[in-house]
Amino acid sequence: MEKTAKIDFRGNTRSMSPAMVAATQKSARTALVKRAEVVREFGEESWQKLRRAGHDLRMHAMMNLDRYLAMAEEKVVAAGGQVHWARDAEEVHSIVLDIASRHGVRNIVKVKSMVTEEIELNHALQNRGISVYETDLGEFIVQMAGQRPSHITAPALHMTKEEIADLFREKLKVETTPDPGMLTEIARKVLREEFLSAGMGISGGNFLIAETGTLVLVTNEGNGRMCTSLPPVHIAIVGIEKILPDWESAAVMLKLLARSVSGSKITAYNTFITGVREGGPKEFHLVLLDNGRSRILADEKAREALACIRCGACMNICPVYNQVGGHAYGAVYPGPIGSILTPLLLGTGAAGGLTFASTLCGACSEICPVMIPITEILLHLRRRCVEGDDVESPSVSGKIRTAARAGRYVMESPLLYRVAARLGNVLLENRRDGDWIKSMPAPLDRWTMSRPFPAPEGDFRAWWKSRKKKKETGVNE
Amino acid sequence: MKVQLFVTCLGENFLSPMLQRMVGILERIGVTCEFPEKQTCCGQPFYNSGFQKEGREMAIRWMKVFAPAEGYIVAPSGSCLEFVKHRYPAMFPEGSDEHREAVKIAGRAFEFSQFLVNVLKVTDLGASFPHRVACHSPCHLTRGLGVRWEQEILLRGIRGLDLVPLNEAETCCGFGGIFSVVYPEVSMAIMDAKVRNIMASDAEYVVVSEPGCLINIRGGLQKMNSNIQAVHLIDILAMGGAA
Amino acid sequence: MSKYSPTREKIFAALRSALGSSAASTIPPLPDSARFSPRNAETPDLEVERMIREVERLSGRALNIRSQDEFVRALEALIRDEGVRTAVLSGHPFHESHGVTELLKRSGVDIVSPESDRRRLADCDLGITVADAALPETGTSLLRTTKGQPDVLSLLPRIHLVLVPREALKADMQQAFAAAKNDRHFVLVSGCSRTADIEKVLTLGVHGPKSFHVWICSQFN
Repeated sequence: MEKTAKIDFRGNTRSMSPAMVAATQKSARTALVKRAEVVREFGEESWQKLRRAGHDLRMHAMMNLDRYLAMAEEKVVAAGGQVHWARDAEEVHSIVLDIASRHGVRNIVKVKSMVTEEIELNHALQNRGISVYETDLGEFIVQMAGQRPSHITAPALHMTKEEIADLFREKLKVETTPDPGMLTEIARKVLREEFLSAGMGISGGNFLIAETGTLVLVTNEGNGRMCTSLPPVHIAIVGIEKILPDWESAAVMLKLLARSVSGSKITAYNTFITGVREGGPKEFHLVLLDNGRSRILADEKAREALACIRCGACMNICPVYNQVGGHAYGAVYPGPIGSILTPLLLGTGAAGGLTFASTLCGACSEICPVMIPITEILLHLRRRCVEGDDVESPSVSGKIRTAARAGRYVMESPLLYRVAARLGNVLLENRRDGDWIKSMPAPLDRWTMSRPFPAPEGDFRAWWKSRKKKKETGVNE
Repeated sequence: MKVQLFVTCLGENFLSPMLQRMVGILERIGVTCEFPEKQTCCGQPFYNSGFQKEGREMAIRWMKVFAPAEGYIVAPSGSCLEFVKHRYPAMFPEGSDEHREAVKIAGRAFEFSQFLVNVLKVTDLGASFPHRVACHSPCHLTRGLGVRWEQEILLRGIRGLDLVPLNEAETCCGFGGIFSVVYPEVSMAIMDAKVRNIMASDAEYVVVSEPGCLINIRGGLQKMNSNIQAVHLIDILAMGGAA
Repeated sequence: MSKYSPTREKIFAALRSALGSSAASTIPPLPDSARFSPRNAETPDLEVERMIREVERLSGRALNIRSQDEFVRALEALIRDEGVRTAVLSGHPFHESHGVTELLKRSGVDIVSPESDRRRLADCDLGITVADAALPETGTSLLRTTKGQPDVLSLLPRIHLVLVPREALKADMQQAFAAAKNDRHFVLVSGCSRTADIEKVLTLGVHGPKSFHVWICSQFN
């Protein structure tokens, strides 16, 4: 793993805009309410069975990944498509640039794809003078604003309609009011032109059905279809973990996905692409990307993270995400799934802090449509940070580790425990304000900066001992 | 019927009166309480922070303290109890002595409301408490242990108690153990949101049956100069005459 | 000498090492727990009702057409209400057997060929397709992409009309897939193109059609 800059979650959280946090909460709440309705309609018991099926089929696919990938490749090639393999970002850039140059491509239209953000594809293309247009409305907006998406399914969530109107006025030189309908109409006109003239379309893929080598795109806006039907060349970049065994599995996934994302029963469009077809793009290229996924697969306690279908439900329900928003996580994947994927992909050296960005409340594991045990994986990664394992050496400072281990001896010994408690009482006596201690010395000032600490009250052991004595002396009398 | 009391670190250092009331309630319904005096920390704060080796060693020690007896182990905390019940067996390789011991102990361990409703089958302790009461759903009690309805059942068995709805009752309070000191700003923001919901509920009391959460929320309400009192379910039962 | 690239070999080596598997081993069958039973259909009439209800839930308009007369009236109303001046329809036998082309011409609508230039199709008001399968559970229509029914028909014009033969209604997605899974391309269409990317306000007709109609057609004529 190459060295990456350390993600400072605490630092990031101190610079979040209240407007963004408010927008995040509003969106999350709406999605959760709608999701609850459709899950109720589906039937709670059936939904749990469906989640189990989702988990088990995804893990079956992961445990047989090499063979399913080989199957998918064979089928895509038989259907006239071309399959490329890439271990990292650079290899994908190389493949895409090569295809683009062979076709003299100047303009590319792109469907939103997390994996292309992971490898910063747009950057690589733009550096070679190729224009890339993000065509999902939210991505189109954040691209224009030069910002990073803040939620995996609603990228412009953090921007108000007024900000978007200002942006359009400035960058597109159009007159508009901050009305979502009008803003959408403007985007539709601008992008239609791009769809019809682009030399290449690039997409990701929600799933890849091994049985027939079929790429599945799950979208609402129609741009997914535009990008993969209109330009003469289509490149799909797909993480190797997106494999589904067969069509029955695809039916299960589609039942889970839209409901989990936003509480619709299904998205407006589900497109199924196998190789090359008449009337469609002349060339279809499938780029299968590893970028750390095979390493996660080898990590027995973490491999269920690969089952993720990128629905965003975990972040909608996460109390931490709802107070800080997506950007705080400093990487492509935010929220609970981000707090495990990012340390797995970039290493705990760079992203270990994210594994502690959780109260372990368990709401994410409970809502995940494919039953990823997110809190279990967090504990596994915390161990990696503190103790190190065969994947990485510890990343928590030696000082902290020593202090914690010393603390353990106090907590474990009945004598030291009592001594420490008594000592604590004495030391804090002069900070006492009635029932409360309003400020504490570091590092416990991190508690008292937010709320007062309770003054130690009563002594259960002493009470128990004296009661016992009373009973015994009573009996003896 | 005998129970061994698992008082928890936070309980014994900050919620001593609540522990005394727990003893009072249990004795009043005919349960004999024992207090294994050598008990200290169950190891959760260490294990959950990544210090799994230390956590495991503390678990072994903890089990030695509680193993000799045969009766139930009862704690006024879903979090600590869940750790013993679910994590202890998972910590040790199957077939090992520690694993066997952990499975035995797990079978005997119950959280207070779980013990009353599911083991003793007691839902009415003859208490009366004519006040408006909201109830927070602690994460480890509900999601971890699956103890979702027992608190409400016990509250509804209290005469005159008006159980008022609490918005986002199942949302975390922001304590999260070390989370509160590793990311204090975020912890505070989550706590503030919980406190706002509590204050909007128009309750006089809010039941928080989890020591860590209770200390957190109490502090949060104090910071807002609220008159709402955060108490454990045990406190309500005791105030209602069940102790 | 392997026909595969070194990169591919490295990735597969990493995967096999991670799983402790070998290239030759066969894939075991999926466990039962990885399967979910398909939905059972209700009575045919209830399925039609459900399809209509679900389409309307998706902000589409749905009709149950039981006679040629009803069909004619519905088409004339659509043309009139949505100001249709140009239309493109797939080369599907259904259109022939119901005289769709004549009806459109009679109402003064210019017919554009499905093989026209994309820009021509993009300027079209109405695209008419025939569904190969439909799913009442979610108000979904399955449109197989063929030479006669290219997928742009349901994408570029601003109004999309899907004609669903009654026999096309299927209880569950799995049954719908059975017919189309070996195709090179097909789409499931469930309502209008839509987005809520701006402040979570639902807007219809982003890149695809803004208006969506589903007519369930019983066998008539």
